[in-house]
Amino acid sequence: MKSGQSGTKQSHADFEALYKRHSREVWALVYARWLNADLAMDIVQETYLRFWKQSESGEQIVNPRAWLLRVARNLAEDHGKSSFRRNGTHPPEIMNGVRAQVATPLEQMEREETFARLRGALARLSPSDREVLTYRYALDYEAERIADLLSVSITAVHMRLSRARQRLGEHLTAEGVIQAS
Amino acid sequence: MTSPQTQSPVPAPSCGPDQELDQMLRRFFEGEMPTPWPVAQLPTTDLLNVGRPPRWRSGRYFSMLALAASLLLILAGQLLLSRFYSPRDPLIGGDAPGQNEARRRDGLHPFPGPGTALSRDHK
Repeated sequence: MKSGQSGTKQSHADFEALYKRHSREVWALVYARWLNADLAMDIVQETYLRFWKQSESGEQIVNPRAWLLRVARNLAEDHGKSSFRRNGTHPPEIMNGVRAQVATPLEQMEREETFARLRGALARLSPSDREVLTYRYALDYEAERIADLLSVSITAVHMRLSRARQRLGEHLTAEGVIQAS
Repeated sequence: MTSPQTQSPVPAPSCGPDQELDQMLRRFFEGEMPTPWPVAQLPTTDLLNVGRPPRWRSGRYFSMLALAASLLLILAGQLLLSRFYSPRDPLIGGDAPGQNEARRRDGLHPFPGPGTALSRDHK
């Protein structure tokens, strides 16, 4: 009984450690796909719940990080299929307003407008462009780490980042959000 | 929870619209990231069992039950019919060979039911 309790404690500790280590990456992966922070968090929780169930069933997961990212990616794609059936080609939350932070009403309005345009521009990028931008700017990951996550070379990460930024900049310049260089 | 990594070896543009875009992206993603980051909610056994219907309520259980009932019905029907049309039944095959033909030749019904006029005449 005592060993069972200590085993449970150990598995809880392992689970928490895995959550701390990879949950942001899982979130970023789903967020980059759907540009929806709440949905991304829901899928993070579902992914970790499935991981826990799998562990409890006795099946050994050799590479937890790869397993988590794969399951999250599949769940995100499944959400796409179901939301397509419900809402058509674009999920309605894409152009939703962004979260407000403490600021004057005018600043807040400007920020919301700018961020809404930025969100729209991000939505027009390809998922792979959004993915690399999310890892870079949301998680503040260095190129080596992004390269490891995406299984590409560091040079490829620099190139993808540069192109994604360029394409995003073009969209935002066309909308007058930022000035052309 | 761990804090996000704080290194930036990716060469960022130093000034102008590129820098503006860089800063805008940082602020945007800062606002999008959940703050504080939610703690891990450890699943309990009860939580894992939530939503799982009991065995007797599962669809598979009902389909197996329906299959068993159908098989029983088929077997019972087959037994009943085979008993009804048993070769030992005197109305069908129990008579001696050629007896039905002899009855037909005599103008009698080949299968007189018990208690009918024909069967009474025959007696």
